[in-house]
Amino acid sequence: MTRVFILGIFSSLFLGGFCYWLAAAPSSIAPVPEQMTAARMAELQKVIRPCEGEDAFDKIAWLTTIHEARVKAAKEGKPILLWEMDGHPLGCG
Amino acid sequence: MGRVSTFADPAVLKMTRADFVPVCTDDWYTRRRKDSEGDFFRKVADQSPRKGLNGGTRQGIYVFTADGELLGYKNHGGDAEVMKKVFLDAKAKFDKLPESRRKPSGVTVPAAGKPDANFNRILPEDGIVLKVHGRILEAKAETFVKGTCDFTGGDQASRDYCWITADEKKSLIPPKAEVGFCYALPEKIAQRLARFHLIDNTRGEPEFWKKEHVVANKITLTVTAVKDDAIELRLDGEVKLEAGPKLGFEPKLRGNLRYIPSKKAFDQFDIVALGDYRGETTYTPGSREGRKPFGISIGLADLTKPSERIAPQGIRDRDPYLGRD
Repeated sequence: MTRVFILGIFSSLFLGGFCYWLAAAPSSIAPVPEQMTAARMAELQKVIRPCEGEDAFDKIAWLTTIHEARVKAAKEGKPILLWEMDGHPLGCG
Repeated sequence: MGRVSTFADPAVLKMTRADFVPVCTDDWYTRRRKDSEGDFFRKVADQSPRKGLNGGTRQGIYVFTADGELLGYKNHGGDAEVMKKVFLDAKAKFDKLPESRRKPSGVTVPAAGKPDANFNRILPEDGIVLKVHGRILEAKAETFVKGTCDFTGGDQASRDYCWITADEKKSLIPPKAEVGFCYALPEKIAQRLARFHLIDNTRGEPEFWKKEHVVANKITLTVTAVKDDAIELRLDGEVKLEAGPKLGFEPKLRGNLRYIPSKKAFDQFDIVALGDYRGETTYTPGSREGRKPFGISIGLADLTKPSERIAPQGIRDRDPYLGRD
């Protein structure tokens, strides 16, 4: 009876430890397909690239030098809106 | 992430397009430039609270006239309602200027002077420009879906550009146009992809991988078809990047490229990188716990758009980016 009890305690400890390790273990490497068909590639590109509406700011025809903006603003009689960021607003993340 | 909040607002979007001439620049370059572009910017910024003391940042959203009078300023565009008010007030100030300064062609803008070569990056002539997007992912069944995270905007696709010089483009062309011929992706390009473009920049500017962080970088090109007008190539790769136990990325790469000999150009350059990413750097906090799937999609940029001709983030420091370190 005592032997069964001790075995039970050890089994519980082992099972608990295993479950804890399983939960804490890092996830495996993402299963990248070995054969990247054109269809599979297109599917992944679609998921990764910006979806419709995600890059709404991209609907703005941003210029990328202040001089170009000054020339256009002077010609059209408009003020300039400059979005200045440490890291290009259109390309740093 | 100003672009996520402010410029996604329909009213701000409409106002920006209709009432202003919109322009974006990278403050890291602009505030340092010793040329007419930098001089003009500092003249405008000096009218704002952003004086850039000791060469510090001058980032923000500015509204000003073509001859350099500041009409409005806000340090960042986090709140669309606040920005709307800044824009409306600035537009009202503009409308009160003398007619001679706001009528079309009322102001004369001098020609741009010689750019400061130290803080101006020039698009590679006859090279290749690639658009690079990254996104956090989640595995679902046998595929991947967009991931979710607590960081505002961290679930959105990042963007950057990759530049390949004309000489490097030549080095990509297969030395033997024979189906099955396999060769290594030229070292400079392989290193550039690994160190500066296989990064998680979805939450801001990460630190780039250093040379010693590239533990493995095996990328090959294989000729898959030789046609009258094109050579088709498949790209395969496995990269291991590691900057200590808490920061790493182990992607596999697959790609399809097509070279058109008559045009001496690639008309397809699609690459997908997929793998588990772990960790974050100083300016990219808020990463997901543990190792999580991350995807990168690379394709040809559309150079008819000025916004796709901007410099890669990694080329601020030219020598490492161009493989000269």
